[in-house]
Amino acid sequence: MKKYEFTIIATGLDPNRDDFADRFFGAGCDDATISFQKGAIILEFDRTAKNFAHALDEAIKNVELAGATIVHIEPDHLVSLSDIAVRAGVTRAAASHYANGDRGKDFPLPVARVTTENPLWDWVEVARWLRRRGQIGLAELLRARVVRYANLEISKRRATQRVFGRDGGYRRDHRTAA
Amino acid sequence: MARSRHPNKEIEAAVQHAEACGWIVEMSKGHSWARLLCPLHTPDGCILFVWSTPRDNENHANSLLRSIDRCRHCHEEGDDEKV
Repeated sequence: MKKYEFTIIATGLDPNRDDFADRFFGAGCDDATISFQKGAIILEFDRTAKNFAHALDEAIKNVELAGATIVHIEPDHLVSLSDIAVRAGVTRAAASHYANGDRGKDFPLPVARVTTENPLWDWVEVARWLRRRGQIGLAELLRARVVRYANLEISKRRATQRVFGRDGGYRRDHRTAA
Repeated sequence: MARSRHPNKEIEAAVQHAEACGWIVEMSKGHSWARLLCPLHTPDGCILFVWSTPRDNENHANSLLRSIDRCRHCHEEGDDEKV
């Protein structure tokens, strides 16, 4: 058993209601530190499990059992060069060299904000590249794939719910949606 | 003004750190021991929940400290004082 740290961002419950924290506690989120920022419920988990996928899957069930709607899992699978540097344990300059092709070949292309100063890469593609060079472990690559899979599933589900109006959760946003 | 102390000393230390950074401790009922409210007292401010009995005291204390230090509203307040 190992401890895994990750964050689940959720919505749909009012933090000013008396039962807000108890709902999460009762649903098994007592290993998460909960905060409310910019209208979002942030649950930072320290979960002990046999592997990362198991830890995340159980935590997702716990959050949903509390009655919240999951929006996103972090650390995100979309990463900047600075994120890549931190995750690969190299300097920001080294990460730039990878992306420029000055150090190593065939670094993946960015997948979002491509026209801006700060493009974003898909961490799964970058992790696979780093893995080939022996710079990260297999566990890190698997973890990247699990997070991406979960986030894509979550956004797919949310899109469907919006179209069909099945989002029966707490709709009144007292912090005016951005 | 006196509030009760959290039974776990690591969590109590995290709560004291929050107070030193200008957060307010609002005692609550149930499994949440208290809510910590950041220095920005508007609906955009951060709310942090402190458990009475988290699964692991040390993990919870560390996580609270990280969240307190990450709050931008404390730093903004510090910047204002310099102006």
